[in-house]
Amino acid sequence: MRTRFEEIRLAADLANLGAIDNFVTACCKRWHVNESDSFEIQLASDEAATNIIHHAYEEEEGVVTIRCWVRDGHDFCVELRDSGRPFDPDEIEAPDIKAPLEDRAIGGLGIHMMRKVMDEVSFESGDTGNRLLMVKRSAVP
Amino acid sequence: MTESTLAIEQLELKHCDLFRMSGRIDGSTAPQFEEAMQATTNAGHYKIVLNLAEVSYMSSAALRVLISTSKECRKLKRGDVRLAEVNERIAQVLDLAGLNVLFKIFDSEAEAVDSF
Repeated sequence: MRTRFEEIRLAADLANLGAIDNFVTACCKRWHVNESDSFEIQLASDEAATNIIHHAYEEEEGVVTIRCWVRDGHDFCVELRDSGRPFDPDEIEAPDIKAPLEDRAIGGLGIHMMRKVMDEVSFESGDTGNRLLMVKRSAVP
Repeated sequence: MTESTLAIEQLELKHCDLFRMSGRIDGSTAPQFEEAMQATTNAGHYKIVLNLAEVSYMSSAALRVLISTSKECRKLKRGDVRLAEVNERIAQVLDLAGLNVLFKIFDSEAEAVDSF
């Protein structure tokens, strides 16, 4: 059950990525998430927000809503909502991160890192827009 | 509202170009990083040292610039992008992306510069 949450609504603009970082980091601090986990949650949120700005809204005007809460006492949840074009991270092919530099693909790294640092990444799209939920389990002491 | 900021100081040394960077390199500031790298390679300078001591965050947008610049510099074995004073957080990002093994990383700026 969600008893308490923190939420911020911002224009979907790359200039707001710093504000998103501050918001997520403040939420982590509020729930006593350690520094390393906090950094990873911030990284995943930044990559997710960047994808919404680039792909869901395709650089056009829009709003992104970020909400943080704690599930079952210990799981840190961050949800990003938007009303742009559905952009499902699962549809992006994972890059080969063992390839030599010469063969490294330029795309897909952000989603790869999101999946790597978060325990759950789920996307759903409906009449009310898109919702990306990311969970880092046991991040809250 | 806090905007991300990135400061880039460039020094043209005898054997390489040294960049001291500070701040966040995310989707909003990566174009500035890319511009600095492109200006350097376009000028025919392919030996680059990036001092990342004061960089607090790098997203995949920054990593894309790192990868493309390195590819450009390593063509015809004419140069390389080498990293210096990589802090714990940036090391974490490089490791997540599997890039830590693809770049030469030096503890000090002087060592990185001397490696060319």
